[in-house]
Amino acid sequence: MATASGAALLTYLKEELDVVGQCRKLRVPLWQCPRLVFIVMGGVIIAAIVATYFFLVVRTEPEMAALVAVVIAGVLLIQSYIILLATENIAETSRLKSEFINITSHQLRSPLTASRWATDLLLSDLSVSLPQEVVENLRIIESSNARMNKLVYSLLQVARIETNTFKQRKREVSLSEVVKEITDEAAMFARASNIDIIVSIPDKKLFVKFDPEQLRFIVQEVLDNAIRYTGVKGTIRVTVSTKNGSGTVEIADQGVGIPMEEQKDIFQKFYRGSNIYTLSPAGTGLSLFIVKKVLEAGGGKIDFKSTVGKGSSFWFTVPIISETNII
Amino acid sequence: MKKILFVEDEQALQRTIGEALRREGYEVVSALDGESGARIAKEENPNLILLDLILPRRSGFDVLKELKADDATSAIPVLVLTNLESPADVDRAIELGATTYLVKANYDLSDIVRKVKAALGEA
Repeated sequence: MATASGAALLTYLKEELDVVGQCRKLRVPLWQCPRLVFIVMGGVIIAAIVATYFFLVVRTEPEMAALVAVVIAGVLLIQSYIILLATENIAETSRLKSEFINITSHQLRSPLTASRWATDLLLSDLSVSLPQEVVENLRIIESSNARMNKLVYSLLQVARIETNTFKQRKREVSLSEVVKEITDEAAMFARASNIDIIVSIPDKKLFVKFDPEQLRFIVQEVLDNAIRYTGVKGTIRVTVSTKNGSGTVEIADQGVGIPMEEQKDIFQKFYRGSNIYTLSPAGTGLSLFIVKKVLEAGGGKIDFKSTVGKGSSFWFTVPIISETNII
Repeated sequence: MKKILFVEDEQALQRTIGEALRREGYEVVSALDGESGARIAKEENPNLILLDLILPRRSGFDVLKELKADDATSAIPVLVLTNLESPADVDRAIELGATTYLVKANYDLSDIVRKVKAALGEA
């Protein structure tokens, strides 16, 4: 335990002291890097203290001490201005990124929406009888469009998370109702692959303070993964429970499981299990990364256990704000 | 026959939503930019307005603000229909008086029609 803490401390110090690396991350010139300028400022202040002591106590030349103080004040003023410039640059870059994400979201998703709705219109027009082949091709367009839409959404979520522009609109929402809604929607889709979803929800409404759309997204993504990793035939158990003021949603499947050596990467961007490609070649590898970030931003946590050949169990917790019995 | 004004610059979306609403028996009036959207709203006095936010000539936010400030159009329900989904945009539109904020990419055409009917009290 002491060795693990020591290793963690060492890693933390290494990261904090990697000034050049930190500066590269911010994409500012080294001379404008706030962290480096701060270190230089520290050095200048120490040198000023030593010089002042030297001229006042050792050499007793108060005029020199005064001159040192004036020079140091000038240097510190210039360095503060450099830090200010760098901070403004970083803030402006962040603002531009955020604007880019917003505009890209609109420009990418508009044509996708148009083709999706045009397909909807064609498929729902009961006055025209379309040949089966045409219907099948339209379904292909429909599902490809849905995949593209999901990919764009995921990439935008990742971009928002990484530029700290990701926001949540928290409301009081019933965890049990969200889980029931998502599992009911997924049940039909799962049944097509001979997968049963067994849901266990307590006889009370568990209210959490979370962004309702994001909570739905979390449950949906974890459940979708369970269905995908199960493949053909199996049972998925979804359980909602409470413990120590937190609501827990556990989703356990009997699927292929995740290889042990890959488990440490499961919440990384673009991770996909090496054994999932034959079951489900489509997939962005972004969902668990986004789920974890969204949960943590809302005060929740996620964890899992998995055995190859037996299945996986994912559970996430969200703080409960109130409970009411269902009458 | 109830009248819906659809303010949207994308021709493809004008066509698809327009067609879907006409099939439900609504009269659909189109505006392809913010300036004409605001003008047509006052001329036609529709029962409902579907309003995109990123528009040429005037933004949907400006149009919404103007319509809600004008006694002649302030009571017309406005459904914002956009692909902008930042909470800041949602809050801003609701504060300006939008009845509902819909992110296009999240809805099927049938969902949009249902939302329109609900806003018109027909659900």
